[in-house]
Amino acid sequence: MGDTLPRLRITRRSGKVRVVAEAGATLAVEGGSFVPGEDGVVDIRAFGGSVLEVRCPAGSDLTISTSSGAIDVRGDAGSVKVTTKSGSVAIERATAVNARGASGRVDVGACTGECHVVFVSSHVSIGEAGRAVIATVSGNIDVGAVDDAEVKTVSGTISLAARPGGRLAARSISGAVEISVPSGSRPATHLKAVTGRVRSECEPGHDGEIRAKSVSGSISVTCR
Amino acid sequence: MPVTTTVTGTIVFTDIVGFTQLTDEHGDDLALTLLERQEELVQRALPDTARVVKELGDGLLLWFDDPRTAILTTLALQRAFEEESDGDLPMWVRIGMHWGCPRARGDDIVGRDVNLASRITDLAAPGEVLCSEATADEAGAVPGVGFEPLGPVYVRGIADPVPLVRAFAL
Repeated sequence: MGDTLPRLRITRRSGKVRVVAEAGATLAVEGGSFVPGEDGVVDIRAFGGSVLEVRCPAGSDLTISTSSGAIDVRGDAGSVKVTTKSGSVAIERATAVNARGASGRVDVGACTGECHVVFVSSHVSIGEAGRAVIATVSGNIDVGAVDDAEVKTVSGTISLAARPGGRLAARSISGAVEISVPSGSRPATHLKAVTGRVRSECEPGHDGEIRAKSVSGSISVTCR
Repeated sequence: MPVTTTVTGTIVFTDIVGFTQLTDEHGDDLALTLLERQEELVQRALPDTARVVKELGDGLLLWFDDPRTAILTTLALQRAFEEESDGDLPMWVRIGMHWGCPRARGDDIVGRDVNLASRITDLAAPGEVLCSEATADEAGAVPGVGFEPLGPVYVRGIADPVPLVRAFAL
């Protein structure tokens, strides 16, 4: 496979998928087999047991597709693309994330680049991200620390914590929007709720930008 | 057996996100306003080689003769919907498509490829255009458009996972 990091495509209809990406590891698969694909991507298929476990070098790019199995990525992955109908998704650390599905909790510890999550009813929790692009219908959204975010939900609540100078945009229909900025920050704010309550305790300035809009959900911007 | 023909082209679904919630909170008049506005923007954007097949609650089923036009038109539509959302009420629309060979039944189209296009739409975020890899392959390079592969996706009612692609304006 040479010195380049592997790109792995893991496909499994149901059952848990666990990937451990760690420095110095070589590709190993338990509960399944792997074959190099014609496009340079390694295809991994499960045998049918309860857990498919993959060990790979840190920085490996992963594309994981399941219908209903839980997906658990530990260690330092590269780009992680996940699609599932109802499985929960947990990703410890990655350079980029794109996760899509219907239901099941989504947890991302840290994503240095863009973390793009589209789910219908899942609770989405991201510890930290360079950029977060998130859309849910009813699932709550919680982002611990982010430089740049575009977040939308119909009825879920949104909780975002901006890093210094962060540029955040949040929109909801009925869900509450809560945004916190570092203490002493003076962001430019553009806040509008058609019928919901709007509250900001930050002095206006130019330390980043907060845009929030809702129909009936409340909006609050606080300093932490 | 009814007389049907097989047609080849691009099947597109649009779906207004949050429609039920907005209707519940603001009443049926608002619902009608959103639907009429969506249809108005769609009709204005459609070229001669495309048509509205039918209305489906808060969405539309569209037909395009070729995938390239479908991609360019729906990306332009998303820009129009975004401008529309600058007002007080959001016009959040998700769009999905699949290039295939459904059966024509009068003005309607039916079959596996129609079902697949609908399932792809379910995975799109508001403002996004998602398509099957088959659509992107058939379209080839489209000026001003980028494609991001999202990997294979299991969808309800389809046995094998379907490779999915996000189309975006460059």
